[in-house]
Amino acid sequence: MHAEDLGTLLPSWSAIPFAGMLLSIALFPLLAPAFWHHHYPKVSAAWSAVVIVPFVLAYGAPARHELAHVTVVDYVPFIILLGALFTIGGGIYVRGGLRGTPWVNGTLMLSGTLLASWVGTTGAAMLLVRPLLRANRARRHRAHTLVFFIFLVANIGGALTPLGDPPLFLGFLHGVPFFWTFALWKEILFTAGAVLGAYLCFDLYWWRREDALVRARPAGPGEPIRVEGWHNVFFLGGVLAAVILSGTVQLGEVTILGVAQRGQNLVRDAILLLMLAASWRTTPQRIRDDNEFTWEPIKEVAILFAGIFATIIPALAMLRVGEQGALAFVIRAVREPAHFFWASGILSSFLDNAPTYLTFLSTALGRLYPGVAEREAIHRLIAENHAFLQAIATGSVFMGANTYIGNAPNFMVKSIAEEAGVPMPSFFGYILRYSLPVLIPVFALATLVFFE
Amino acid sequence: MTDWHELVVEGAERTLRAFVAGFLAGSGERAGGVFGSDVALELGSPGERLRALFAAGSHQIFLAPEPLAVPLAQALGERGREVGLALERRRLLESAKFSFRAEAFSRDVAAQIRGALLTALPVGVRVERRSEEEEKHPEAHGPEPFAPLHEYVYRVSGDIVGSFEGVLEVWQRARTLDFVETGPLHLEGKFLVT
Repeated sequence: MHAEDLGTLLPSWSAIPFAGMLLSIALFPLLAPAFWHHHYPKVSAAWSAVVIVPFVLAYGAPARHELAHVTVVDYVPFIILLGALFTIGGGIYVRGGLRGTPWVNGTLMLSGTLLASWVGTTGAAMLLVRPLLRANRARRHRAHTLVFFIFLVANIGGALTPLGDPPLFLGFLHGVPFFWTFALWKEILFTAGAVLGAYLCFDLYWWRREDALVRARPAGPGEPIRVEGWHNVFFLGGVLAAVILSGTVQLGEVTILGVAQRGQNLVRDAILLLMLAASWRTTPQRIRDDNEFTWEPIKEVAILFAGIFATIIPALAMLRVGEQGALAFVIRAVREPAHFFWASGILSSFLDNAPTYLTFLSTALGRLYPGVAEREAIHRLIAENHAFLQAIATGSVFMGANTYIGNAPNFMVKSIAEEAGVPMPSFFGYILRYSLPVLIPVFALATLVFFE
Repeated sequence: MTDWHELVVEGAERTLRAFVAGFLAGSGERAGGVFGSDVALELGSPGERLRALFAAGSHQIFLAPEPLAVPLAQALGERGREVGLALERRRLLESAKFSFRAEAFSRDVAAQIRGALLTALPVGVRVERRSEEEEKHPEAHGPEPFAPLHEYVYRVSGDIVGSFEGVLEVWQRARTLDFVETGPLHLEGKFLVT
């Protein structure tokens, strides 16, 4: 039996642990944060075991091959990239005192939106959230600024390159060319422009309601802005070059655990680890302390994505074979690019966007090119039906902003802001007061402009 | 502490505001009052709620210290009809109460809340049904995207009870504090003959 045949044999309920894993990540931090904080590795291991044990017992060698494949080709490179970006981004610190006027806040948002595609949404959010909080320390109305920061910096801004947001890097690992995401510039410009415009309107409204003392220009010169750890930009350049290199050169194949891995990918991962180590060795500890840098986020990503990648195997296998698999109803339900934009977006709003992207990419491939090898199918998708991939990529990345649980940095920003004394909206307050009135109309307009 | 009165006036809010402003200017009175629409007042019985629903906007509430309330009530009785205002009833406020709850994640904010709502209370004001707890998770330090937990959590709730003037002062303080949710002001008093 070939690994490809698995998708036609697996029952639909074999996708339940994947749903359980994603729902655990979404709901536990809201409903039982202390339990989740202490026990998430056990929950991840439990969902993984529920899939792996029966899967390997029932299907033997093809199942073991699928596990090895997802580990070698997806999981390890994914963790290495996130680890490198997080370590390098955590070595840069913006010091100094800005004054949180609407224009300064808008400029910080714009800078973060532009930066997110190059250092990752988590890195950009971590780099700029503290300067933003310091700039707005004296203001009474601050929560809306942090919410729009989540919209723009922690989500929408990450869509331009595969470094920006995990779904796009997973797409890159599966064969989407590095520079393909540049084709999303119009969607990003439209969406980010509209959201930033809405933010400026909001902030001008609230700025006028601040105390006169807050609005008054300070008499003396403020503390100048200083960026510390500048040299990490060089390491970011190294990461960028290594990722681009792996998409452009051919260095043969190496077999690891029975899985063929491309030589250029191994070189890329080695360079990324080198950049990570160099950043760690050359950045003063003081800068990392100021950023409250710890390895905990990478530990979380490593443990939870091990669970995600283990449990996603049956779902992806079933989707890849199109209408011959047990998830044919999913394939039949989404037909047009607009359907993919909203379906991937709505799921990304509540579940992690990286596996959501992979799920809908496999759905599109299963629908349009059933039975065709994945890399070939992706190239044909880009050449013949690129609107589908644009819809999946933008839906997954943009709509992660719809809720606190849509994308990992959202919760991180909320948590940092609350500890700095900003009363952030509740889970439903965020949706009702910000996502529904601001994001959903913008996404509806984007659908009409780009996907109808 | 001064006694406060609640005046329930039939008529338009803008007219009442203008009447009160004119009265204050004319009498040289400095002690200000509070309009019911500027504070969240709890509606009493179901009947009162129903009346409020059907007669929305027809009645206004003005809360004032006795030195202002008594002559103002007299002035409303004498000249109110000329501008469409009628004093319907007057109540001497004997006590007031509101509930509050807060959840904060920084020690500084917790200290502000504690100071404003629990320790520095005006004379004649107390906290009832007080519940206060601190949670500390020293292991939860730094940004955590997937399993966020605050290193410090402060939770407090209770009822602020006492004389209207003191309770109003605490209620106004609470409204300026982030992370604090306040319930409506519940007033107790005895009706006076108007």
